[in-house]
Amino acid sequence: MELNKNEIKGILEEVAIVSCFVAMIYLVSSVIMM
Amino acid sequence: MNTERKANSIEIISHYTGYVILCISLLMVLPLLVSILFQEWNPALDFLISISISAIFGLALIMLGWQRKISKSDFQWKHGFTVAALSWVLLMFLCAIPYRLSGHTPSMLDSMFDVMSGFTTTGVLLSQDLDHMSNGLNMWRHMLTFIGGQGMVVLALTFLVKETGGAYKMYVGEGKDIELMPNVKGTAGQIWKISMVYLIIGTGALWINGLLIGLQPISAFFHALYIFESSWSTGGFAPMTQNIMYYHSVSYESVAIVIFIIGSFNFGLHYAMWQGNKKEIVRNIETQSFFITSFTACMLALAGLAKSGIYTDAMAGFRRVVFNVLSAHTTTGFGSIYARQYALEWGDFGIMIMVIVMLIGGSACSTAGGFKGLRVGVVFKGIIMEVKKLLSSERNMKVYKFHHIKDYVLEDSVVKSSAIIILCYIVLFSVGTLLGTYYGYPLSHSAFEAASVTGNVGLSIGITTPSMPVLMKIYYILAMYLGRLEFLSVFAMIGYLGGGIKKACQKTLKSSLSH
Amino acid sequence: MSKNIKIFFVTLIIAGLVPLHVAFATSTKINDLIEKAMAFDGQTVTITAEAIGEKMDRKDGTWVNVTDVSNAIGIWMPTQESRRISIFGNYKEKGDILEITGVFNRACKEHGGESDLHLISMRVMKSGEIVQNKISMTKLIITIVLLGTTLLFILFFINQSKYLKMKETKKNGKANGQRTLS
Repeated sequence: MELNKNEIKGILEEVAIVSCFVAMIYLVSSVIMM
Repeated sequence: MNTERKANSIEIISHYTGYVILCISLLMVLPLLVSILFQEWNPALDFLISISISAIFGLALIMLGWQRKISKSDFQWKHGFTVAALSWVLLMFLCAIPYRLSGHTPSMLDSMFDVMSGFTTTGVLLSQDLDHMSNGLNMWRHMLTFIGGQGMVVLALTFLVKETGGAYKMYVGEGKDIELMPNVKGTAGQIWKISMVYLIIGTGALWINGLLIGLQPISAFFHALYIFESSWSTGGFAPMTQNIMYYHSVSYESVAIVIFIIGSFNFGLHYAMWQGNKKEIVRNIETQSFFITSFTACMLALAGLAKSGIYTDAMAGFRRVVFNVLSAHTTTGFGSIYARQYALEWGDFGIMIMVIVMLIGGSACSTAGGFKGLRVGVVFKGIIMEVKKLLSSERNMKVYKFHHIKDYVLEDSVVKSSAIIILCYIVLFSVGTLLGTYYGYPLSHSAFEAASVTGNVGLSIGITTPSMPVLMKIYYILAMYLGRLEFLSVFAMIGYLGGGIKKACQKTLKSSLSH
Repeated sequence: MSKNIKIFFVTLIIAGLVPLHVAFATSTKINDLIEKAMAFDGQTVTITAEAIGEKMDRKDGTWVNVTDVSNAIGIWMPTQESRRISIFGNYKEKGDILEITGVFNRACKEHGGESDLHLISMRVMKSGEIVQNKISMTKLIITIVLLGTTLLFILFFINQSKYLKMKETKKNGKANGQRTLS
């Protein structure tokens, strides 16, 4: 199974965006919980 | 319609159902190998017995439909839907055999309950003593949820069906309609490629994480594999009784969150992103809908639980509230608190937030359940469109659109069909809630459990136990099944079989009257 | 008279032992801890449970998961203490049975809100052992019979499909033959 450049970029982007979303929820929730 | 045509229909359905069953029964070889590897002889025998019974059944069905190969009768939509729906019912029985033989489930009903829970990627369970379960059976449980997430028909289509005429109809029958490639076999293949690539990446990430938190190399690998399969398929099974709490690790939980959110996205979205279409993830109506509703739900739940003093620091809020809300919204079902704690500590506000997000669910054509973000987004935009139409002048002919991989016009028919399916889910959910209250469970608890099975989530508030009333077990199995296949194929199958039975009864009546 | 005194003293001793016997049996069920989490929060409790899975060494302590059939929970203990546990339960083995006294936290501040037990003292009540998972003769016989039947089915299937292929090529051959004739 081979992956071309676009596919690798796509995976990294998906992971990055979702991780950022989760991190954002954590940061906002820290503010709420204070 | 003459009698010869009727026989052909049964043979068509039998032929393809047989192929799907044969394909899945071959997969049982994997847990068999795992059991042999770990020298678990009883489970190995259990799997050999199950493989034999399933293979015989599958082959028999294929052979019953030999006429299909000879006559080449045309494959209609009703056949496709029926094959999908029927395969799931028969496989529910066959795949339950290893469970029943293992002793972890005391009855065949409980075994079938767990299998249906796996297939539909729900995740509620009746199995007891997970902590002493064989590796073979644990492998099987998690495989079921991984395969169920992709779809049994999708798997079979990748390997077995040569003609494409019937393929698309069976594919849609299983609740998918996204076309990644011009042919169904290609689309099915792409779905598997995406899942396998993430399988390697995700299992790797969890394996490393497992080693870092103190697990031994071999067990760290298996835990990683199981948790990945469960996260990606938004199933929610875990190898131990304590579910995700077994690991006592915020990093493990966080990696799981990322995997299950990505897993809850539409396969068309993954494909688009992989083709270089970066913007899709933010333009897509489903991800927009998901990001908005999940963020709002997390904030509301945090506020509610902070107010009642249950969780007052940020880390606890993230690990015990956000984790569970996201787990519920994506319909995964990993629990970072004990089931009974929802009942005892979350209060009605927290429970209702969970009920709502469980029903909204994940994306269409993914492994997630619920109404689906696409329908919620479409209906919501539809309402806005209606209001705007009322307020604007009649000369203004604005076209309303939404974006889901491509741009679509927001037509009344689209809004209507989305609303109808949402209504079906609501009915399914309401009956489940009513049933719970009939047996004496409190309203909010019944609603929680009903939402969990209807949306194929898997979180439990404590109602799902082996001592649950039999009727509730049966209803939950039905709800998980209908919810996952999105009603149409099951209705088609019932209608078709029902029509067939009606005709058979009419014939018998006619012939007995003429005597 | 001395016999009565003897009986009296023996009774006194037995009566005196009874409270001690009761003290040994004050183990709480893990599920009760969860059900009455608010009441037990911050309290010192004693549970009797089996160690399962494996221990996980962390930076400043070790996690040991235990189950007492009613439910399972994580015990946070000094790494040194965890080394006293020799067998952890799984499919093949029953783990060490431990009597654990510790502080129950409904939402542990140290561990991100988790419901856990922080160890005070631990006693290995019973060492773990290998579980005998004997293969029953009936199951073995059934397996062999089923495998045999499956093999026969497969052979029959291959046979039938060859026969059908032959029939189809004959049919096509006939059709082709007719076309060339006309």
